[in-house]
Amino acid sequence: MLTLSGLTKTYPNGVQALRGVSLTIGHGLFGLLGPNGAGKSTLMRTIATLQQADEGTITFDGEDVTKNPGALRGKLGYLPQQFGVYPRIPALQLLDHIAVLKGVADRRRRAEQIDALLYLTNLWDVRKRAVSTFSGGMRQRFGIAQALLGDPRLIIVDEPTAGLDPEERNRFHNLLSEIGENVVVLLSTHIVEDVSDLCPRMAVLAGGRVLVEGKPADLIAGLAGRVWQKTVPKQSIDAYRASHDVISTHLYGGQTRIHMLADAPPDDASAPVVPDLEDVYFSVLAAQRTEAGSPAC
Amino acid sequence: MLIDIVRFEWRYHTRQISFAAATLLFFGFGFALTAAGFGPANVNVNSPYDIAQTLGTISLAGVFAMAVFCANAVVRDREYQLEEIVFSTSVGKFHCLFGRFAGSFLAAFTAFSASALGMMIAALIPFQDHARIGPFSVAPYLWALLVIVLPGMLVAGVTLFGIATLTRSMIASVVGAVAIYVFYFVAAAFTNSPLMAGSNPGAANASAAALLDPFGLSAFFDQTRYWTPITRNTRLISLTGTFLLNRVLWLAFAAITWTFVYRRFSFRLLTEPKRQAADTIGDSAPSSPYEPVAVSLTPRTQWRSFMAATTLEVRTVLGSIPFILLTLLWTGLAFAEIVADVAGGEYGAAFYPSTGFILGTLRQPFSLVASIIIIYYGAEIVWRERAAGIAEMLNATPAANAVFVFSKWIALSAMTIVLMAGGVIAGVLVQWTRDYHQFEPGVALSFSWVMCAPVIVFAMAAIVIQTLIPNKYAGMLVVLIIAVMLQGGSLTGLEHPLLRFGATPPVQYSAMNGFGHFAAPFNWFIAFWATVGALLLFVAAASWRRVRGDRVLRNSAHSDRRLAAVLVAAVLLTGGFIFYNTNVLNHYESSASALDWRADYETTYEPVASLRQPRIAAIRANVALYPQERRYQIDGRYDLVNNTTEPLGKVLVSVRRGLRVEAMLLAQARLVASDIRFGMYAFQLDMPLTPGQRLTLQFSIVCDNNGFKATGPDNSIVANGSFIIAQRDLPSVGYRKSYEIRNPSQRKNHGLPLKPEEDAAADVDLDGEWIDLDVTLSTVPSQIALSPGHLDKEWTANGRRFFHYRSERPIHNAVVFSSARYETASTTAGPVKIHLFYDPAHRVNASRILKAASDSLQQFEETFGPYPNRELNIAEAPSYWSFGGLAMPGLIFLSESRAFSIDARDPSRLDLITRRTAHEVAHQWWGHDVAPADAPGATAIVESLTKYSELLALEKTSGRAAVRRSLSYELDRYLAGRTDDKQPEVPLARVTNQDYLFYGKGAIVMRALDDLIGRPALTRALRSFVAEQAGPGHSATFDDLMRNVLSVAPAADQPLINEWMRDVVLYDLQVTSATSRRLPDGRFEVTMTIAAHKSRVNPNGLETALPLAESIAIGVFESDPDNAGDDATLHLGHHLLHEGANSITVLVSRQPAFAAIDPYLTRLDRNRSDNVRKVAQQ
Repeated sequence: MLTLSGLTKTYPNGVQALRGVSLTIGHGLFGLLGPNGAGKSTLMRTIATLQQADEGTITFDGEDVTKNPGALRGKLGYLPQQFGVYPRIPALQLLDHIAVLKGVADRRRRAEQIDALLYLTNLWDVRKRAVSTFSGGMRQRFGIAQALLGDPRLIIVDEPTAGLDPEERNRFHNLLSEIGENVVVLLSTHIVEDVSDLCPRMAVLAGGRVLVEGKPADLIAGLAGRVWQKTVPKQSIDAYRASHDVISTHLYGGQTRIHMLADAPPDDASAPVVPDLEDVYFSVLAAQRTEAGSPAC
Repeated sequence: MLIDIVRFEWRYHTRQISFAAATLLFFGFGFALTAAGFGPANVNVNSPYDIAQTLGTISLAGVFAMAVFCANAVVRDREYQLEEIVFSTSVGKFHCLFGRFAGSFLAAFTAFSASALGMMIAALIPFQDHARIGPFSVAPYLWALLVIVLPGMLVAGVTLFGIATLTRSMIASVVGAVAIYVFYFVAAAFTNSPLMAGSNPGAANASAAALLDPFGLSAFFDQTRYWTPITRNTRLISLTGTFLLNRVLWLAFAAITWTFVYRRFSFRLLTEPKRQAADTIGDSAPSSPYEPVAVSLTPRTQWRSFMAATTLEVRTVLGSIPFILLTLLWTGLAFAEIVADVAGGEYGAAFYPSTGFILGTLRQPFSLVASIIIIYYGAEIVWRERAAGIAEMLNATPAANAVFVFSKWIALSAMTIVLMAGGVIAGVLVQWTRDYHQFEPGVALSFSWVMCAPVIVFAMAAIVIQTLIPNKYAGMLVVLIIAVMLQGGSLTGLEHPLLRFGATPPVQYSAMNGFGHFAAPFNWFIAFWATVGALLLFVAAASWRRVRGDRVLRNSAHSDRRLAAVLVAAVLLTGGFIFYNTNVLNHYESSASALDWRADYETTYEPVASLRQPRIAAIRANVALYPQERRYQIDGRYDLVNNTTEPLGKVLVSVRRGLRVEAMLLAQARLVASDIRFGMYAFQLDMPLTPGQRLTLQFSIVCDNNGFKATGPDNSIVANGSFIIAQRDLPSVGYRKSYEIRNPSQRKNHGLPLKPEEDAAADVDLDGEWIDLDVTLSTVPSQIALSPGHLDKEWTANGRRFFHYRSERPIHNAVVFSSARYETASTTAGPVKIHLFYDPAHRVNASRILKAASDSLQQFEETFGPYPNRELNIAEAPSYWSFGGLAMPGLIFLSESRAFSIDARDPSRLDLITRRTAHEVAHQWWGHDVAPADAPGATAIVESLTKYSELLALEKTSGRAAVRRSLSYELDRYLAGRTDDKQPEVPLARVTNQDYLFYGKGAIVMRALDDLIGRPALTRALRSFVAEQAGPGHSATFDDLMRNVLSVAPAADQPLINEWMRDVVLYDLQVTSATSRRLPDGRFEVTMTIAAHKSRVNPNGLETALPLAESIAIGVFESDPDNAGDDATLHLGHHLLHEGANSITVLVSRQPAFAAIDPYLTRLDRNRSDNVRKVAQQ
């Protein structure tokens, strides 16, 4: 059980990355959805003990992480959003090195686990190649492998599927949901599909705040009957934005299709649609933008 | 467009923190060097010469500024991954490359120029020594920046920019910077650059090698070598000759390099070749599925993490190509340095490349190179995870911060050890090439410890600073500052080694005594700094940048705190122990307060210096030496005699500082004052001592050497090789002139009057005091103790070995007691027995020394008169003492390093052992048989006549060519020495302690006399001088010598002799042409044009031309006169030469090759390189 309460973080340049984030996250996959610059990575790094919050506390399984980060690190599997590796060191050797640093003492079991992970992440054939020569997807799978070393009770994966092809992404999703049965998995992403595919619970983070939290199905249910779709000419989008609650615009076959939020049909040409998670996400973001008074873009 | 790029680049660099730091650093360099009075002491600190030398020296450090700025200009795109963006813009290749180079070079050069500003300000500050300030002018600064600094920096800048452009790697540029240094040192090793220790004067290839120095310093020294202080103060270096050629050559090199780089550079990304599937392995897949494996977080697993991290770090740094290249470069540099030093003895002599010698040679360059590598790699290794992008992944593991910090320190230590091994390998290679096969592993190990330990401690500082400072380059600069403080901390006023991180007291090595008594203080200091460093590493671990954010997370667990407490206790204990030793057991004194002490002594006691004092007529003493405890006790008795003409009422006795006086009793006298600070004891006699009357002084003094000192130990009593100089270590009567400050500017600072002429060297008492000596020495049974006098008796009692020495007739009061584990060998010279006492390691030269002593003793007896003693003892002295040889009456000491370690196997080199031995044997006549009065000219009697004698011996054993080569060193010594003299040059008749005069000029002038009046006449004169002045009761003066010489000289020669002896004249002789023609009878007619000039140097340093009409030798040779045997001389005769061009024709019987004016150097010729000319055949 991971509990965040009142986390705030302001960078020296004045950017407020976190503004009082509180969440309670149990076993299973938890999706953290948000646009670029929402504070996701700051939050992930803060939970991963790599950054300090200005205020607020993090507890994991009843233990205060802020006071004793070392204890959490022993139970942590962390895949940063971006990472590099030492040049000229083979995957096998680097995994072994990280496993030792993680405290996996038993040499034989360490070797077995590394072999299993290499196989699982489809890196078995290239295990003796330097990680620095890996392609983007291979490198990402290596990152996943290292996050699973040891006995992680909390797994934090920051934008894990970036750069993976659909097949790899599938494998990865299967893997995560398998592992997620017994541990806390925190998955940050800006891809709505990842969350809808995988996560029993989720939250949307934007502007350093948790805008909404819950089960995807509940959130979708909350929009039932309130989302309308219409195909409009490009030039009139701004006019619709001014007069309606436009939550998203898509290009569809060269034409612009907009989704609007309303309790009743906004006009005759609008057709009701069955809301999905994307509508939830965009409606929340749109609401937040209106609140902040910032122009929609 | 181009201007914009230059401007952008300039702005980019000048806004970096590294620019501000570098500017400050160079400003500080310039300020510190000038404020400390860098440069020759007789030249103004703001003279063109000093400015050029200072800026040239700092420009060596400028190379690293170039590496940072110029390399950064190209590397940063790759580092910040802007490469693809920049390369896809429309900027042209030339604009891009040239603009970036110009902008970054401008920034680097601007930062460097701050050093000139620092120098100017340092010259203007009020506490500067006004005697060394000339009129202020900006021109010499600008000129030096333009002609010396700028070309060298361009070469460095272009080279490093080129390397960076082609490799896009920062480390490659740093390797390049080190390579430039290596190249520089190799070039300097083969030239006369005063920057290199042990450079030998007069290397004939100097000007050729001066071309090789990219920084122009060697060419600068080449041009200014014989400039007098006046010239150095006024003349700018001129763009002529070798200097011009050097500058043009290197500018051309820069231009060519630039063009090459420009052509090779392409706007494409450097792609690492992708390795193909050769290494994909399709062996059996693992059987078991993934499942979690329990982790444990115990000290044991942390230790495993530490071992794993260490292995990875060490493997990474040692296996990196740049480091391997650096190690190879360093090994090459070390090899070159050792080769240069092995062959770099005085007079071109070679040394045996013993393990101690080669590693001693490497100490300085090693500490320099290793420090540079630590500065760079310290930054690299601390920032490596962040640069690679793997930091977050590792930081999220539970490994403790200390795991990262300490493993990185170990990696730096491993690099240091690898470098050391490279140096040792270079040394072994030199040993092999010189056919020397006595590698001593123990010595190599202790040298490695002494050389590596401070660097490894310094590496701790590098890690700590890089951890604490959030900018890599700013961190590098701070580490550099610490390194500079460590090397030259005394400039900053932090002299006590406890105040400078990593500093230790000096450590000297002696083949006889090993690291001996230097080892313990060194080890204590290293232990202290290692604990301080370990503590700092824990601080670094606590603030390891694992967690992003403004606050540093301190998560020290309890075990860390316990460890920290233990370390703090260890720091306090070792530091306290050291402080107790250096400042409680011993009196700590900074160099400034040591000078104050000497100044105060002079002010207090100089007024009574003129007080007439009785002289020592007899010394009786029991000298008990305890070498292992470094302790001795002397119970002695002096007979004092009043040899003045008036009664004496007051006696002053002086005891060296640091000695404990147990008893001090003067018969029939009262102790009226005892001044502990200066060790001065004043006695009032009950009854005045009438002329001729004697008095007894009884004393007991003890030297304890408790603990150790911060500034280095006293070396008089050591485990093996004790050397106690009576004049220094025994009580003396009267004022001690040797305490006076000699340096004129220091005298001025202390408000002491300047002395019109410097006092005679106080190391040798020239004022003939003749004594009866009767001493009993006791030492440990394994050692032999030596003293002047005849060994009456030797016995063992109470587990100690006793030696009783007694003078059989009064001897000159120059007494040294020594004790060491000597091996002995003997020979005879007629009735005289010669005993040699040497260290077993130096057996190889024993027979050569004995033969030289025997031959020269017999030759000098025949030439000058009988040797007064029954035996002559020759003993080895440890290298702590700077002399090459030191003569006592009947007892000669030769230095282990400057005599016993000489490799005289190569017959083409001057035999330094034979000449040094002959020199000291000659002192038995000049100095100890004839002991001159303490007056100007005395050193000419003692040393110039000894030089003459030594050359007689050398001529007999090695022939005329050896004399020619030997005298060319003496001429160089003279010419170089006169430019360094702080005061105007005096004639030989008034020489005091100017060694360039009494050795250099003395040797040439004595050979000139020999040539002018003939050897039989000159030796007759010297023989009668000895007969007249030898023994007690005489005190010869220079006039006595001149009287004897003039009495045998024809009247016509006397004005010239007087001119040589009592005036300062210089010659300029030159063979301007030489041709030969075969005559029908088979002989050859050689026609030569000789240009001859002569001038007098006035006391103000200016010269006036003199008329010339002298007979000077002209030689025609079949081969190079430097190596020609006497039989290769076709013609050697005197010809009358006049001012201007002289045409000379001689007939020779065989084909001539070389013509030479004054081939055996009898004239003080400012340029001897044009005295020999190849004969052109017609």
